[in-house]
Amino acid sequence: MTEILKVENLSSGYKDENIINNINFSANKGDLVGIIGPNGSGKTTLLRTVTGLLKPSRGNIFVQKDNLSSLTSKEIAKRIAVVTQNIEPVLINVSEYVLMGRMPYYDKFQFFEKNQDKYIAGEYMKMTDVMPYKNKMMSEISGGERQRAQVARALVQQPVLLLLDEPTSHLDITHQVKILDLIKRLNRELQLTVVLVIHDLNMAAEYCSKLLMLKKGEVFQTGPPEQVLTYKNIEEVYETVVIVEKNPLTQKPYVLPVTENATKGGAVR
Amino acid sequence: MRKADFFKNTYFIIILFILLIVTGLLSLCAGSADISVSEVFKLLFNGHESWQYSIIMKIRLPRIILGLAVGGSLGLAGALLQGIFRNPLVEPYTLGISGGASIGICLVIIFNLASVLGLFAYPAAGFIGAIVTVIIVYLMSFRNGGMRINNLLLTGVMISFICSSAVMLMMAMAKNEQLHNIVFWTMGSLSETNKNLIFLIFAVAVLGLISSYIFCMDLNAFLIGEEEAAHIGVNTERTKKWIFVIASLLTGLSVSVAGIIGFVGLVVPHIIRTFMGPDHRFLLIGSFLAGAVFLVACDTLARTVITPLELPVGVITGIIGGSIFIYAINKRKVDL
Repeated sequence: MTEILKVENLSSGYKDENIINNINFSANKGDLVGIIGPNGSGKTTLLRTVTGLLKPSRGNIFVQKDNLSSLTSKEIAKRIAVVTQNIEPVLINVSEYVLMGRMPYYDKFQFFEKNQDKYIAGEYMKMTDVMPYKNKMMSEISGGERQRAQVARALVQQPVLLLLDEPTSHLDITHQVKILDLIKRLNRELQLTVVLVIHDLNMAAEYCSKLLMLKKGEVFQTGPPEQVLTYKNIEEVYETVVIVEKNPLTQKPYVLPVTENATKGGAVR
Repeated sequence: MRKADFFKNTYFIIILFILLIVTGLLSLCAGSADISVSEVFKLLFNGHESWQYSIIMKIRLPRIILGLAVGGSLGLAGALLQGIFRNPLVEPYTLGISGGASIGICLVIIFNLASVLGLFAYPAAGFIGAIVTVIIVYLMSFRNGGMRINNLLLTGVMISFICSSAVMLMMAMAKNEQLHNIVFWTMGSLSETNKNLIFLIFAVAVLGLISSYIFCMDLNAFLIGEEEAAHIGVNTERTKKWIFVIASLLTGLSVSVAGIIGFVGLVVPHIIRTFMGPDHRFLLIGSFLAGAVFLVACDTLARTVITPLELPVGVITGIIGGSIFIYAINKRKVDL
């Protein structure tokens, strides 16, 4: 197993205050790692530190054995691609936006893309189903379409590691499944290592091969979904009563929150 | 980029270039001594001894070159700053950079530093004043990583106010001869005659244009947001710093010779963007050329409308630029 990402004793945050403390985890080639945890547990902070936007106050991040702090912005962009929660609807043509993912490969005074860049952009636009709207403006398309364009731009960077910040938020269930199916397919077919922040525990259980559960900025548990998503763990981390069943279709854990209706008894029946 | 856009934009650049030459030629002819275009050509090749030749070469040509350099500098500085801040209302004037430069220059006049340090004390002081303002704006706006564009613009406008008050304060305390110098300078004009100074401004404008192209792809990446730009490998902090240095240099030097000429940096990139789109590969050179055309044309107007008297060129750019801007904003429904 080739190790792609290794996070070592990582602490990070804003100003002088650390949001995450002493985080350790790693991702191997082909892993699909989900970062879960309640609001404010440091999921996004962790992701932003791994992307290089936040400087760690302590600890190290290694990408393919190289320390992130020793790499230039361009070198990082060739290895790590990031899909953020929502990109502003800017006045740029979709295909030109996707092509921007080739920028880390441009020479210092290269102002125009080469044919190869165009070819690569085209291939990934096909793969992500962006082709039908590639001539529209980023501001004209729907949130789901914009997100797929963002994934295409990320793939065009030809990274070894793809990071996504809550790719399913703001999406309806159709688009949630569509984007996660796409990520899973890329993960399988390209052997692309993926780390994503995800709120929906059931989606996390379905798609991720490994989960990293955070509580108050520290790792509570890591492992395969079956091991992490137990009612004990969830009740302790989320402070909510749940029942964990098995999804009858996939045999993955399925989390059912115990609502007021259930505790009152009979209201649902 | 798509072939159609490439050709369209190249076509626009060529038109702007031709426009610049035509405007320059017309400006050579216009003035209290009427000289026709054909006469200009004749004089350029023979007739070097005539008084018309010395008017053209010693008075009008330097002025056109200065107008070209200052207009180009301001247009380019506006395009660069708008690219970094991703807001069409940002320009050297609204950010207070011109104001900062003006304080530096007034200090030079008050303390008579030019007699000690030479004529180049003016551009040096302009640059220092501009860069100090930029550092203040930078620290205020990018603190904590977040930026509030409203705060930034309000801060910039307030810096402008403080600077103009400071300039008035200096005027109130200045001696008669210095007062005359300050008033003359604040009106804004392109009547500087020192050849070395004009050459310096021109050289810096061209160098500024060339060096800004090092960052043109980075500026394109800024279009999709600063964080997104960082994700595709742009060293955003370094880019911002260099753009600020280039913009301060262009603004500071322009203000030092020509006074505060407002709206060129605001209107020119805005108009060019509506024609060419937001691609900085074309926007930068386009804004430079259009700024040059605009200021040379405005200056020609300024010195011919009420001949033999002369209007401050800032008055013309303010009236024309402001009106065009209001028109453009209402017509295109630009999102601010």
